[in-house]
Amino acid sequence: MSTLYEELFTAILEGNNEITPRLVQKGLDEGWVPKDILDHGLVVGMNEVGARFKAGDMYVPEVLMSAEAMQAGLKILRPLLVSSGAQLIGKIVLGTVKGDLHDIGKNLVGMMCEGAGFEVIDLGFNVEPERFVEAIKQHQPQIVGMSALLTTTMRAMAHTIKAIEEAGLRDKVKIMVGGASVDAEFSRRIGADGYGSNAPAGVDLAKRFVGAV
Amino acid sequence: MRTNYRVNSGVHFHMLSEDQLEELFWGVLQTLEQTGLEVQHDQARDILKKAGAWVDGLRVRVPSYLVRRSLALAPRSFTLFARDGNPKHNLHIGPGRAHFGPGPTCPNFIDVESLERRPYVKNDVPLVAEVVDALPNIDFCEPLGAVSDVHPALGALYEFSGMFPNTSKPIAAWPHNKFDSAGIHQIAVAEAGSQAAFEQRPTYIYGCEPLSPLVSTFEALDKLIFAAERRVPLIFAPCPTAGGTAPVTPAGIIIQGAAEAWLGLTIAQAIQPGLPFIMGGVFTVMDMDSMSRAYGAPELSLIMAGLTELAHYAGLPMWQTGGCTDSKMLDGQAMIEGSLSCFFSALAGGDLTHAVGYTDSAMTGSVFQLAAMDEAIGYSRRITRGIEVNEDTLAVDVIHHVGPNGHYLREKHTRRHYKTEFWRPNLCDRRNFEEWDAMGRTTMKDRTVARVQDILASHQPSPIKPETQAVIHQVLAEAEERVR
Amino acid sequence: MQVKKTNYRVNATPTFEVLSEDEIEAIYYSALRVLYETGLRVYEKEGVEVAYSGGAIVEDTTKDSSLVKIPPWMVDRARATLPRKVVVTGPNRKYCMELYKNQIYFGTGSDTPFTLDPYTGQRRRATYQDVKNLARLAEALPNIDFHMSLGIVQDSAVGTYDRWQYLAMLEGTNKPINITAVDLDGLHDQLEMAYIRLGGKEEWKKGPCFSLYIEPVSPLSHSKEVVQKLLFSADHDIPFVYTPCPLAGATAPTTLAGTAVQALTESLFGIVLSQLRKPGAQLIIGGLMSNMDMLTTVYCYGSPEMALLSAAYTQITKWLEVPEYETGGCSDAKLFDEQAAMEATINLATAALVGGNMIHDVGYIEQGLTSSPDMMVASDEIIDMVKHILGGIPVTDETMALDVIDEIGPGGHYREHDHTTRWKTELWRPKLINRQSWENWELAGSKAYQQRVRERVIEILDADTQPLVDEAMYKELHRICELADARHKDEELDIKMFG
Repeated sequence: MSTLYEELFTAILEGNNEITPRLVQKGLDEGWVPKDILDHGLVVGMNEVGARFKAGDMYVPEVLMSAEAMQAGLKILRPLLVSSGAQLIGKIVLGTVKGDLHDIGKNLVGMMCEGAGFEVIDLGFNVEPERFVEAIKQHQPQIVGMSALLTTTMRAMAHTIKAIEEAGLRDKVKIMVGGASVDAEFSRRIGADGYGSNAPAGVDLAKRFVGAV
Repeated sequence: MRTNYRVNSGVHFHMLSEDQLEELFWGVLQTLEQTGLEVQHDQARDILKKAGAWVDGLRVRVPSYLVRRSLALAPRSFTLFARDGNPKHNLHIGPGRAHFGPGPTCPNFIDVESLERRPYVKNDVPLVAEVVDALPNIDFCEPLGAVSDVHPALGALYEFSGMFPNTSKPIAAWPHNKFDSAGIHQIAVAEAGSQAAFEQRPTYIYGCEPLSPLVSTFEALDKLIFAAERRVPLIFAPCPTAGGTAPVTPAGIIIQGAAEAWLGLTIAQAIQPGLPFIMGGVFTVMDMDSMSRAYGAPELSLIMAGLTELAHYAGLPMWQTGGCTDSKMLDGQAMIEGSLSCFFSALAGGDLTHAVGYTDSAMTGSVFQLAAMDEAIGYSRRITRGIEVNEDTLAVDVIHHVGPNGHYLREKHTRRHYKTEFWRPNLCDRRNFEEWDAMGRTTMKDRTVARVQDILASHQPSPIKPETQAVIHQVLAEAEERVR
Repeated sequence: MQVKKTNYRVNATPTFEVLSEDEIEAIYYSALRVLYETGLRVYEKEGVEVAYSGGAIVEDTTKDSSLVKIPPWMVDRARATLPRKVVVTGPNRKYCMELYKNQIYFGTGSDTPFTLDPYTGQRRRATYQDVKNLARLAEALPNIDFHMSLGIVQDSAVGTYDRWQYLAMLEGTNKPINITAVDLDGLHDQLEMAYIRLGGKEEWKKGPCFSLYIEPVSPLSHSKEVVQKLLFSADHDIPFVYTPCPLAGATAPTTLAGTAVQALTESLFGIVLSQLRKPGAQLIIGGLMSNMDMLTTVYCYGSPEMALLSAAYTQITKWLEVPEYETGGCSDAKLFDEQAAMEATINLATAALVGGNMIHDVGYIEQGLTSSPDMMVASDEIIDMVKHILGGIPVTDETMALDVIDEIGPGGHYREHDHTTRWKTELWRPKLINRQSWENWELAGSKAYQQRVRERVIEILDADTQPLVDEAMYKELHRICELADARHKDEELDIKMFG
């Protein structure tokens, strides 16, 4: 591992969103390949963050700081990666379904997915099925994530999946669901592709969906 | 900015009003002056007579002015020191500070490997001390049992010798007589360097137990005199039973128990003015069905809280009781009873709360109960710490900045505060169901057992000086010789 | 001549406080500032209009919401008509809750998706029978004063589960119930059901037999359903619990004081709106206030911060002179184990000491996702112990017993004395707590507390009980549920969601 990668690793772990983009820029100026900076600097750092969080050695606010640093670095790399045709980790559209205003869980998933390198389009809360469909058409994400807190609003998850099917887009996306009353069984019944019991599990699932594990 | 702002530092709890405490206080003085106690020690009676008490055969009555003078001499605040100088293990006793530790005397022990109950033996003592040393919310050490595999007269000596090298936290010792007292003291002085050094920085506290009702036994007083002469901080604590050896009412048992303590206080202050003196004991009820003393009874928490407030009203620190149970195993009952008494002692500010780890109505000591109670004490301490209300914590600007439907997870304010605002559990599981299920569905008991075994496998207490180790060998050898 | 004491102030019970009065005021005035400068989002036009006509500032109106700001004088005016005491009774008036400062009552919690099977301990989705059984448990436990569903009925239609839930509870208990409602229609139906149960609409005035649980979203967000329910409740004299559930660190400031400020802002909005709609509308404010665990991301139900925050909030409501909704008897453990026992013991003791009025969520485990009958039964005993301590220490000539101490003297014995005989009836008697000697306990089977609790649960559930609702009334109540199902059947999914 070169010094640049080591410095990036540390900057990510410390959640430094000022140094991280500066290091990325420095790397680019010195001629490093953008994809390499991403994979060997930023992603390696975030993987370590994820491991430490799972082990109970890092707290959520620290993880989110690291995610912010990651995003600050990725911001510089993204246009270069896109223009060079390199594979980005992925795009996720997230939302809390129609009738439901609870979104803290979804917000946490979104921030942690950003930390994993995903581009996240957060539709907010009380999102009608049609808006999910529009967002898929507009952004072409690999993954759609839906959240609902209540058993009554969970029905909207099924309606949304139906709307996506009717729009002919079901096979274009992987659908994951989450929420306090949601479980794996329910996820299967409504035809979702997966279920996350909490935000970290949701991120792992998203990574598996795009083969980034 | 705001002025005239009075804040609570920590929560406020009061079992009794000032008027009630005053009433109880004078009730104790009246008992000492009009009823008096039986003092079974000649030298003690002489000391009392010289000080101004009225002696009539074995019965001694102490006029109230003498008691009050003795109370005034005893300090409310003093420090017990860690033998290795580690400031984190020093115990500062004073208003508003509650500390916790195990107790002595249980005849049985829960084996740390088999989890079976068996008699307590001398090899258990180092184990207990190591666990005490490692647990963050346990502040002082006691053996959690009475060794059964040595000569009965040497029990306390072996217990002290087993604890002292294995924890640097202060120890509460319960010698049986003058001889083992001397041996214990010799060890402590050796580590301190000299008697003078020990007097300035005492590392152990000396416990005596008079007999209820109203009998100051020869043994208790002989030990008291030994400790007072050497300026060893002293606990003088009876164990009355409501409805048996004391009145059945909380007010009555409190008064009697306090009278028993202040008789000892008067002697101690006459010998050594200013000697740190702790009153208290194990005050509880007898269970009507089993006829045994109930260590988990809500009455224990109730009475001990009231007695604590009386002690503080009188200007004395309190030898409290908590973290103990009548349950025979580490189960829901053990947690309910132990948590309740720990919580109420924390609320009342029990200066030294002992018996943490007692199970089976004090018949069986358990380091698992001790470790589980460490969690309950940490929990209680977060509550008694209270809430800070100032401009920063009110966070009005942060609320405004986040606004409706926002969130706080990435706010600088959050990052600044979350580590200090939120207690971090060691044994409570806060995972969601799926993760808990995947990780083996542990109960708190499982995790407690694992934690204890982990401590015993890996914790290294700081060592004593080699000279002190030699003194321990010598003291034990001499003691064995004496009893032969 | 016996001279009685004068000028003698007594703690008839212990006293407990977290905050000083100045600290309470600091939180209150901060909340007023947030209410005025930050405002809240309100998603119901009618609610916005009521606030506006009352003097509120309305701005930033979008297609579904407005930002509403409340000046301090509106709060003062609302406080003038806010009832200090709210009464909720059970349907046959046998049980009654008088909710006012320092009157403590204990009750269960609502709407958990899962429950632990009382016989097998298995975690599964809650059914109608579960909700009925848990209500029967509540009926049998002397220290449970009010009841909430402890399970979402998930073997009925999803969109109308609240009516079925209420019916199941009515079948199981005569204690006051705190209901939830899916929406306004659900509330309307349950009110009809209550009128039937009481024997007529006029009976409601003599004592409402339920209160309604309404939960705005933190931070500072009042949904359409929330506002509709509030207005309806005010109109129909339904006492309602208006409680946000702020999560310190996530949906509320990380500092406990900051969370209290935000929660109070949300509560004050409910107070202002309700009093504008109908002066004298009955509210109970408070909430489940806790922290996010920063390692596992869960909403803690068993943390000391939850207990501490709730206690602080109780003091604020006492200062405001409005009844309070507290929390206790709950845990983050996934079953009734040692952790559940510890967390419930300390949070129940804290809530009782500070004087919360409706201390709810007894029986909640797993961050409120699962209900546990074992937890309920154990908590009943814990409450009994706590209440004993709350009895305080009477200090009188009789209890000090100086003359008895003098009479018995050194080395004597109290057991046979008159004084002991007279006073020993005051001692606390254990129910499931065991104080046997080791030998006797072994002979009796070496049972853990959890096992004795489980046995008691089964004993209660297996006991024959008289139906609380007669056949004719049951039919009427059932009909309302069926009509609701019919009205909403198009909203149900084609597939079975649960079970």
